[in-house]
Amino acid sequence: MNSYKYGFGIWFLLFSLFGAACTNKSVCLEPQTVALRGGFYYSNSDSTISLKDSFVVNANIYFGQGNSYLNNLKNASKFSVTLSTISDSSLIIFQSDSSNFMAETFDTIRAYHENELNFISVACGYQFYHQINKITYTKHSIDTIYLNNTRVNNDVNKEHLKIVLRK
Amino acid sequence: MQLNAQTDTTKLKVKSADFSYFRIGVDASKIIASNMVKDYEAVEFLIDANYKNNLVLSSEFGFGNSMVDNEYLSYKSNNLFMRLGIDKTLFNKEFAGDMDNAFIGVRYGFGLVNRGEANYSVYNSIYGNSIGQIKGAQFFTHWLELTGGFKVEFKKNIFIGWNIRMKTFINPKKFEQLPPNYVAGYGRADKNTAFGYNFYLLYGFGSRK
Repeated sequence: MNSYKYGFGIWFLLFSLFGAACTNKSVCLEPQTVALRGGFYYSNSDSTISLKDSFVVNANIYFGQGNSYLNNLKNASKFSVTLSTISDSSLIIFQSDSSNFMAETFDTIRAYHENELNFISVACGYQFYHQINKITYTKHSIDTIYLNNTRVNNDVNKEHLKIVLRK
Repeated sequence: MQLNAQTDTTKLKVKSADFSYFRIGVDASKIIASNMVKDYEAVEFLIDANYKNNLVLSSEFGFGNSMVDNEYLSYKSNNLFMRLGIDKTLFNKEFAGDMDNAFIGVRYGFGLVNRGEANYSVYNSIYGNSIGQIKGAQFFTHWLELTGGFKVEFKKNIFIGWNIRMKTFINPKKFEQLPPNYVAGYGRADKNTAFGYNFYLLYGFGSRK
């Protein structure tokens, strides 16, 4: 065999081996969190629906199995909680003043939703998305809740609930 | 007395008859890889035949199986495949019967894939974990390839060959939901385009004239 063919073949073999080394297995990077996201608002004095962001000074949000998970909100206008993947409704408790345990500072919010299995990848498996059908709530500190987006997935830019607080 | 050597300036033009020489072989790299990795195994065979002076018709076929077994998913799959294509050799033959050459080629590949029932687990420390099953499914899949490589005869009628491949699914949507881990003949089924390689051991027979 001619030397130029031989040299070409050797280079090609090395290139093939290099390419083979670059073939890598699927790895599960941290899967994106699926969370219900909300914001706190006050409505305008003329009750039009151009809402202004509002801060809650020191509030708590309770969620999870037995409402045993706590999200403390200090000077925050946004929050996020996970929804149940094993039942078709999730209970969220909003405490408008974390230092006051009187009943009038607590509101319950119940989201009724359908859970949908969503494939992520072979390495990561599945996660659940949610389709919210209905929201019910009490009205101690809360004036109104607007269901802004019904689809809860891993899109971090979507706000699902707009919670208008009483002034 | 001076003697002038005459130089034969005639260029050697070597031609061979169509389908006069065949090679059959096996991809040794897949056999080795199948013993080294635990999540797939595959066997590939090759038959090629010369066609015209610088073309080779190629048929590759085989089978394989794979499995996924991690904390989120567990399932098995298997498939048969075939690839048909044509190669163009890059260098002229240097003598009659010269079979060493580099080539580039195209392939059309297709396969029948069977993915078994899958068990999944979704972990949720806040509300509790979920487990379930996804039904098994069968797929027909096909893809296109560009390939390039080299085959060299190191003993009479015994060849080694190596090549790289770039592949792309024609019907990628088939595998958007729970693809098989590995499709023999293609590679990782969750990739719409894939890179692959082969290392063949071949035996040739026929007329080289």
